[in-house]
Amino acid sequence: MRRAVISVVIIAVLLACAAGVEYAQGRIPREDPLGLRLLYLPTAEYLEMLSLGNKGFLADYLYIWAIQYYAQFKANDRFLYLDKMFNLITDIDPLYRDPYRIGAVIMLMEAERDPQSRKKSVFKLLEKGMAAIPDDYALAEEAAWKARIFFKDDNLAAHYAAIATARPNAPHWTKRFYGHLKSGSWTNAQSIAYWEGVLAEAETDYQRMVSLNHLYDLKVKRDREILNPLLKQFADRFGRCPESWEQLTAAGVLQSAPLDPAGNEYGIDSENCEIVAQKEIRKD
Amino acid sequence: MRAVYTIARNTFREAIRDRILYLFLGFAVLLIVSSKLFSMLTVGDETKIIKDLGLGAIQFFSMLISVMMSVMLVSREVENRTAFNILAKPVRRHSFILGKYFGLLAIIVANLLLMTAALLVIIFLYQGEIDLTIFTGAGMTFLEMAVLCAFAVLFAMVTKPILGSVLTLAVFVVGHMTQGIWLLTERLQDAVTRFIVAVVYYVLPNLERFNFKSELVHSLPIPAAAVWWAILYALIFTALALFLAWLKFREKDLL
Repeated sequence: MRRAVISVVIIAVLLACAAGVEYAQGRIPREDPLGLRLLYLPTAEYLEMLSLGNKGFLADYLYIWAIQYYAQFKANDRFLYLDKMFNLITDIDPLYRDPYRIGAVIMLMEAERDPQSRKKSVFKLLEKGMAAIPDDYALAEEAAWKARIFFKDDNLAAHYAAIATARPNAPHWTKRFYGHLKSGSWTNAQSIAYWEGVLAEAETDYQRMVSLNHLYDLKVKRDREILNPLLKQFADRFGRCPESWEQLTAAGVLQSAPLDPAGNEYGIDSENCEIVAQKEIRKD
Repeated sequence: MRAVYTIARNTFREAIRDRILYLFLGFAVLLIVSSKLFSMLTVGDETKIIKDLGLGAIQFFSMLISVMMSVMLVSREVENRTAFNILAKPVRRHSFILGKYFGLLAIIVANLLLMTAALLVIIFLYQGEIDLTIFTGAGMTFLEMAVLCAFAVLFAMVTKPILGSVLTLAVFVVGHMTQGIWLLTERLQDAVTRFIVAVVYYVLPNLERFNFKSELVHSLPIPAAAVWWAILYALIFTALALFLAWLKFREKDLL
């Protein structure tokens, strides 16, 4: 019994010593050797071989390690070898979506310090994912949002949104997002043609409603471009703006009262001398 | 055939008595703890990580069984001369080898079934649906282990138990790295050296031919031809290793 107690005490003392030494070692300030370790990481080709057939798990491990490491706050070199790390992970398992998404998010955190270089890295990583997973729309959509929100580049956003819409199983709203992004560069006629296509592809009531709303706005805009000059023409002839469509038809300017895309008669804002749609219209 | 069946059954029982199925418990604990841990640490698809980890662990634990048990069970009989008792009966030496081999394979199958079931349950808990494609992964691991067990039986016949384990482990490691040997053939300038390296590549079992984990995890189609060729490949290497083991065992003097 006594021998057993002594043995337990010796083991406990040795373990406590080991823990103490480990703690003391941890407190010694050292240069972060991680940079060197990362710099000399083998290529994906060799790491794949070393994984003995478990490259997916190796990629998972590196990915989890990377998000833990880059999430730590460090004053300097916080994003050391960020591109290299996420390129390595995605080289090992090119079909793994998360590293493309999260890698791009982490890269964006550094965008304030070096916007141009980061912009290049973010889209390079996402484009790599788009090429590796051709049936995936989410990475292209992610790129479109990042271009629009973080880099305020609607042309680039539209480029990626177009890629997203062309992907199989792209949800309806990616098409709507693309139409919205292109609204600034397309003519009204082009937009109407596009949104009619979007409406035709709508499968749910909600999708139809949103598409119809856009079409409504676009068609009202088109009608406004036609009808407002007619109101001005009447005002020039009679010195006042018409108060009803009957006055215009009586004057021979129009044959009948024009209807909005929903089939309702347009109103006339006599004060500003322009048409008014029944529905709230976005003035964009 | 009856002798083969009897030896296989006894080998299986012996392994059960050696508490080999306890390895399954290790697998289950590893899977449960690590899946919980990884789900806390990762951002994104947790199921992908669990599948990767589960399939990798199934392969690793099966390899452990193959490396340790094959050599332990077969070498022990040969070293302790207990094989003599069996061979004193009307049992041919090839029946002894086949019986041992199929007994070991039965242990692998039992463990594989338990581990696959555990993985299916964990995936079901995370994903909410039963992913039967995991059985394809388990089937491929079985083929890989069938080849490895055959090599383990061969090494048990030709060398000492510890060296046999090391050699079997080497077959596992090299079998997963043969692609590197093939890369050499593409980079070497000298035709003769290239030919020799190519011969080495073809002589060694390429265990990556049984690796469909990437397709399974990413829900990609697996070409049926690749599966059939993998089965044929496993059969050929198994037959070759067992034949070499029989050649060696035939000449072995147990007295």
